[in-house]
Amino acid sequence: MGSPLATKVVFTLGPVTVTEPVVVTWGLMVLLTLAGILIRPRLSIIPSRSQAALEAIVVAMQDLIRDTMRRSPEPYLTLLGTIFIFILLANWSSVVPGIEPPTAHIETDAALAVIVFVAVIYFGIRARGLAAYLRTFAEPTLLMVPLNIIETFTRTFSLIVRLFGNVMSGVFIVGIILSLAGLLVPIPLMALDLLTGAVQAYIFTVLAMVFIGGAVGETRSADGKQGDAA
Amino acid sequence: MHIDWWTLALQTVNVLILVWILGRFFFRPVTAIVAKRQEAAKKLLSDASSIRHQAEEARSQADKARAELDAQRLRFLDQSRQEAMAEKARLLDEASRDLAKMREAAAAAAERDRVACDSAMMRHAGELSLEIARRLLSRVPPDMALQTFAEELCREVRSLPDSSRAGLISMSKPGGTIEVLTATDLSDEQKQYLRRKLVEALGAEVPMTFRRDETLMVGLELRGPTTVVRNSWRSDLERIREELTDDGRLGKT
Repeated sequence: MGSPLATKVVFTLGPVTVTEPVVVTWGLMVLLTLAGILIRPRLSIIPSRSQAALEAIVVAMQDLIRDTMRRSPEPYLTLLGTIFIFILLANWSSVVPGIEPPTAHIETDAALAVIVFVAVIYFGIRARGLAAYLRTFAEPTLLMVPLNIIETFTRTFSLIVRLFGNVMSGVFIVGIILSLAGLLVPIPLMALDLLTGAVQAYIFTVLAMVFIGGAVGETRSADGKQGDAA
Repeated sequence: MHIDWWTLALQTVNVLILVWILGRFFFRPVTAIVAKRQEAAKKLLSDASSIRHQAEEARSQADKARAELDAQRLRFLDQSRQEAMAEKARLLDEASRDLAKMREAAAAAAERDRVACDSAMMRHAGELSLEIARRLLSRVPPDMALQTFAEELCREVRSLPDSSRAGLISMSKPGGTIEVLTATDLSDEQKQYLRRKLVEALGAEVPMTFRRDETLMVGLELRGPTTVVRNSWRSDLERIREELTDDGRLGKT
């Protein structure tokens, strides 16, 4: 077993090196695209059981965004929902033998965190305007500007490290146990790893919501309730 | 620790592409279908609310119509009750009048029956008294009875007004005669006796003819063209009956 921090290069295209996490991610993208293509024409106003389950997931995500951000969930649903589904499936991809979760590599987690970082700035400027958004760094006092700027980067870094550490450690431990014990011994740890993967997907998504919600600021939610920006 | 920047870039692009794909094929269609269902549910609720409103309005109108019908029914009942009371009063009044008429008719009929009964009783009593008198008289000698009735007849003749007595006397002119009615046939002696007594009473000789009339029962009657002098039981009974009837004493007995 190699270093968990190393990424295996699958192939190269000129200067571009395509590593294993990228290939796995492509596989997940193909899987999700096919699922979306199959699901889309089958959506009906009278839902089947599978459609009801999918709608339940989407509605739960909308409720989570609404409760967390105190805003209408429509502008954020696609981004945050995709992040949740991708992280969840990436974490759970470890159950497939021979596949290492893309989120067990720091580049994938960094990519997700960068996207969240950019999204925070984008939604903040779109909601408040550039000047108002920049003024948020001076809250509550001007003295807080350096700390707020640092906090913007550190929280992004914490997103990366949290997800990477949890997933990588799970994969690493399962790999060690598998190399030391028999075939069935790592199964409880793999089940625990699935739970950890789901929890980490949820935490990453909720933190992204909180960061974006803090950037867009306090407003009335879609159901008319007054809320605070996180 | 080594970071593969190409992997970072590719993963960033991959996630962004995945965001677009899922947004196009999953999140937007699902949210659209949920919104469409919510719109349909809202429309159904709105339609249901509208229908319920219409139903409530119809029920309100039905309640109003029922209340009007109840009021109309009460009015009709009251009117019918009043009409029934009026009809009852009218029938009672009519029955009272009919009853009074029937009572009057019954009283009149009873009165008529009582009068007829009294009359029959009087007639019967008169016949009975006549029979009694006839039987008593049969024990009296015929001459004595004739003398008694002749004396009485003569006294009545004498008590006649002069004009009436003159009317009887004028019958003595040629062709005229006085008819003497008796209940029984008279002998010649009795006729002679009776003629002598009548001549004395009239004060003039008058031709007389004698004729038997059993309806007199007992007694005599003297008949002229304009004057009749009666002294018989028949005339007495008739007079008594007339007096009783005229005086109304029959109704009182």
